[in-house]
Amino acid sequence: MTFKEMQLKDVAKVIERTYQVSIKFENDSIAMNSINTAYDNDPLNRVLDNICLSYNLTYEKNGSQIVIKSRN
Amino acid sequence: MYQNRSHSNSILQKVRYFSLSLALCLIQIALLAQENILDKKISIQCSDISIDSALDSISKVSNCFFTYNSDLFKHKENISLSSENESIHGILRKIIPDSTLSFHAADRHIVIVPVNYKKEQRVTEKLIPYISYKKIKGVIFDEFKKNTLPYASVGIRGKHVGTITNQDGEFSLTISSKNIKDTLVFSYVGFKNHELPVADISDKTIQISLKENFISLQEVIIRNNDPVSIIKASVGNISKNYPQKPTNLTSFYRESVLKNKKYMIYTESVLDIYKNSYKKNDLVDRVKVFKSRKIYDVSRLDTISFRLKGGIQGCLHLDIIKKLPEFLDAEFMGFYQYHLIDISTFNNQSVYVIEFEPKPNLNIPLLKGKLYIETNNLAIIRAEFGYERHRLNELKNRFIIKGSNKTKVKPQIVNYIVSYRNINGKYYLNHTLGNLKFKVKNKKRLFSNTFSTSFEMATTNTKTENVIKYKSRETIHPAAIFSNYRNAYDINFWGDKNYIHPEESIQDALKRINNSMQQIALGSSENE
Repeated sequence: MTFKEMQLKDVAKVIERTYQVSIKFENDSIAMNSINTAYDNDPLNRVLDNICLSYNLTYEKNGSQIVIKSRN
Repeated sequence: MYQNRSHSNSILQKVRYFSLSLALCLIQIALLAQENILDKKISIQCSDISIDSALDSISKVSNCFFTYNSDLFKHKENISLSSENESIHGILRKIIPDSTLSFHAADRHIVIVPVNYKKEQRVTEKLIPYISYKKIKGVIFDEFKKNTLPYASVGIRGKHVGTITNQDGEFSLTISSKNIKDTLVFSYVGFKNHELPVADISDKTIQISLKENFISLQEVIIRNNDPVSIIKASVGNISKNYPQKPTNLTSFYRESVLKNKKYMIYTESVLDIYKNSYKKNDLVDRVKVFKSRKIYDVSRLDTISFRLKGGIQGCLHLDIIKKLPEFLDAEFMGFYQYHLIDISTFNNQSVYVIEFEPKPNLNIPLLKGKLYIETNNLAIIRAEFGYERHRLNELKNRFIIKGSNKTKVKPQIVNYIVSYRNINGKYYLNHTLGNLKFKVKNKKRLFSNTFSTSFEMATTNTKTENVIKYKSRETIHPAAIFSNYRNAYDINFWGDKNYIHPEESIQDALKRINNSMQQIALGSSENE
């Protein structure tokens, strides 16, 4: 899957469907950042790591619940 | 026999050991090859394409995937590229020379990472045993060095340290050694950001020229071009875009009163401000004077028989997000006409420029001006507004108090500017400015005098953690009119360099101190 200039909130929707998880953002300004990224059968952690790295974010995983937040 | 066997055994062992180590080597090589996609050598040719498409081509040629902030290269110029058997890292550095961006590889993925945020840097930061300060001065020009850029924003990326340029485009900034790995960013509406790593600043005086940012409208997807709904939506987004907790601001404040273009009173001061959150409430901000000095021309002082409104309260009232003015208030928006006149850029983000003016034939004079709203998150980043000149006379009592009945006062110009600065996704009050000009005629005299006052406040440091609410006895009432507020003259105010002899004539003194909005480094940027 390839994402072009997509807001993180929309990317999250695709990830949710693909990996059967639920993703929340700490605040809406994070969710509105836009990103270019692409994956090919990659594990979920890789996807989340890449997204977070490119925006100085971090994530917490609790079962299938994921929260993406800023690194401070 | 025994010996023989043992011999053959040892050979066998050696062979095994050898093949084992060979296998290890192979595994290591495989791992290395896997880990450093950036070292993979490729050949690629392309001309006059955007950085985004160049990355696409690299991704196709080398079968890797890129992840990055898609706003990074949006307004960058097209590039051409010709590489024979060069490492991906080398190629990327060619097309993305910005040293604040680095490349992180993980199997087939390459992430473009903003370097400031790398963890290692925090560690080195702590190794610096003491904090020293570096004072820099500079001028910001346009591309052709024709004009200087007034009120341009100067700040350390992601940190709560910054200043603005004065009317002549000059600034000075004190940078702590803690920020040595950071990048100084210069921004101006309609121009591309200029970035300068703090470590690269060797001269004490620097000249920056910003390039104009011409963006074609196709580049910006206009989702919404009805100015009224843009404004309503941006007012609705206030809680997302502006701090919801109180903050401590350190601000440089200055105020001048000129009579017939000559300085009469000039006040400079560093204020500590307890700024309430942008939640809906009516709490007053608290202001503490950290240091202040005032220079006045005694020969002119006696002629002032009225006081001009403005001052710190004026500056704080200009925080239009805190106290929505009529042109942002849905209840009064019907009195105005709004036009989307341009899409410009600021801080590498595209911004709507919306012009507003009161509808004709209203009973009361209303403000007209321009609003700058980021297209992406609808944050209001800047506003310039004032009253129409022909309606000013109806408002004179708003600007003048303590008037004498011997004089007749006629306002000429009333203009304001307010701007906000984005620090890690939240917008903080950056700069407020008021310019007022009046004609004053004494009934007994033949000629009138022109008085003008300007007051401005620039945030130089913002603290969002451990915010202190000053006790009310420490603070001055924001309504205090600063021009009449006497502070002891402090000769050590700006340190040795800017020592000013009180005997010097005011103009000479002003020449020396007017070289910029100065910043005193107070504390440091605690918030990373």
